[in-house]
Amino acid sequence: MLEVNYNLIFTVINLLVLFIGLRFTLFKPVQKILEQRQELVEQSLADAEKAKTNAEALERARLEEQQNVAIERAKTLATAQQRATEEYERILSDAQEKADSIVKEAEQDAQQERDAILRQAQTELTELMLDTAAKVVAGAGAEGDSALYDQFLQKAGELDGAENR
Amino acid sequence: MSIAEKVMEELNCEIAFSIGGIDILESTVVTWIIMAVLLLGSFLLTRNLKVRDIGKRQAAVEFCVTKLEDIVTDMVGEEGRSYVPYLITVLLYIGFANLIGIFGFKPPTKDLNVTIALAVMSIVLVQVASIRARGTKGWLHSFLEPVPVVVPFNILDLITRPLSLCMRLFGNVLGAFVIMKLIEAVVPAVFPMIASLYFDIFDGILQAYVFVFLTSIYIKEAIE
Repeated sequence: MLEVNYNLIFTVINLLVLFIGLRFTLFKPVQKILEQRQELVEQSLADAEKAKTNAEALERARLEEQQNVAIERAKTLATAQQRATEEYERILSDAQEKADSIVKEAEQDAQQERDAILRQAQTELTELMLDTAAKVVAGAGAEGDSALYDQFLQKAGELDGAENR
Repeated sequence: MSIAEKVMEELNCEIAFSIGGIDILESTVVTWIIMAVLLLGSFLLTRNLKVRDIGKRQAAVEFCVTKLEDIVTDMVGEEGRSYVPYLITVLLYIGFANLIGIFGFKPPTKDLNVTIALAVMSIVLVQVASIRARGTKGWLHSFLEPVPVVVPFNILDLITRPLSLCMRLFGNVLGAFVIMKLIEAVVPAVFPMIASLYFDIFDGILQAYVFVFLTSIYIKEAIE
């Protein structure tokens, strides 16, 4: 019953064989499959992470684009407004200039006309004086003088009226 | 035939057969049967393992293996991970050896040759683990820990530890076997079934666990 013999060695060999056998038929295959699954899970996680990063980058780019568009629009609007203002001012100043020149021309024309009238008046006055002088020299007498005087006054009055017009 | 004679006969580890003058004991033959069952079973269970869409068979295998690994790793520590497969092998072997009494075989663990072999392998493994973890110098030095005075006791440990492992297992299985045979001899029906639940199944699994647990603790201690 308590005999110890070489079956002890057999047991050692049996156990070692069982250990090696189980290693190849049980532990290694299960270990391998678990590792593969772990890898798969990690791979999936990494892929998901990458996809997320990509999506975020795209979203950021889109937002940036949107912002750029807004800025561009604001800039375009500002430029258009500025151009419109410039145009408005240019037109306004053109109109002002034109109005000024018209007024000036009108003034010049008026001046010229007045000068012409004045000149004519002077000429007429001179002629009248010459005429009067000739008449004074040619005929004496109080009546004659008085008639002459009236004539002079009348002519001068006409001239004056023209000048004041 | 008296009960005593019957029990004595049952206790004898008979010679199964002889090849060229070498007697092969019954325990060795039963060990072969256990080996065949374990190896064939694991071979059949681990065929066509898949990474995705696993079947129930694979799920069960994976669950059992990872559970066993977790249990043993908890005992031996993370640093002793490389010893886990051997410890699981021993656990499965002792477990099956203790349970095989249910099927009418004589448990191999009832043979002193088997328990001595298991205990010797355990203590060799512990010493190898110590050498691997600390180097030969560190291993020799570990006998001086914690104080040099204890050297004789540390050396004695090399004998007492495997002796206690071997005798505990042997005694438990033998005791359970004797009690079961006595019960069977006295009350042949129904009651042995209930008693077998405790002596064969519970005690059998418990002893397998205790053996591996102690070996794990020795290894853990050796590699710390």
